[in-house]
Amino acid sequence: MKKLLALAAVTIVSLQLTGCLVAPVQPPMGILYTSYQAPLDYDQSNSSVGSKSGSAETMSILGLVALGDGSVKTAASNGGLSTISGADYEYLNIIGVYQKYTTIVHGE
Amino acid sequence: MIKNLLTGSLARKAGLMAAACVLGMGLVGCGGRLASREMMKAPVVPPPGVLVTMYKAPLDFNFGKEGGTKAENSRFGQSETHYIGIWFIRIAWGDGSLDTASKQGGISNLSYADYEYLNILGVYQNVKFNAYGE
Repeated sequence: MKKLLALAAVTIVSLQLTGCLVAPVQPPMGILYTSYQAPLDYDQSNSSVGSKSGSAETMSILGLVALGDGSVKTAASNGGLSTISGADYEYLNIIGVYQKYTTIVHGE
Repeated sequence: MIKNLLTGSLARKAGLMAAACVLGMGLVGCGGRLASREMMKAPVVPPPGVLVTMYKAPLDFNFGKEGGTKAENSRFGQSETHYIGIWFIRIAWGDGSLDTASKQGGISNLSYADYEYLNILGVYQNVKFNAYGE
């Protein structure tokens, strides 16, 4: 029983140590729980902050199946944006069992 | 002590721990990504799945250029690449360039681009590049 528990613990830690998301800016992630928003577009020199925003998301369950539409096109369409001035993303990870990536675009 | 490590229960435990690590990494698909050059690489890669991965994600994320990027575009073009891999037989082909996508959609002024990724058990992988513009 103890061996099984140790094995399960190592498996869970391994799940988290591998950090599956790839993004231009990645803040430090938690082992048991991660939920943050971070910049996707970090060149804001010529853009103003828009009044509208839209999002689109993908999810991964147990690391076995990953589905969704996190495209800029869908995010802009969901927010009714005609011009995109910036973008962020949101990442949620609960013990590696459920992961969600969301593209968030801002604009007018 | 060393004898125990190599032959005794310690070695068995270490083996089990290593197997658990590999399983953990494999479950989230990242072990494969680290070990394999056949996996998807892009500026933004959402969490993948080992059995099936099917998502759309941003390819272009620099929207601040020239005061903003037009979101509603009249034209759309697509290009794609394929991959089939079974054991050591691994074949990849296709033209996934944005140039081809733009030409295919009749786009002269490219606004931005997304990509679509499909992976079935690592055996078949398909990447589509979607270009939007005027």
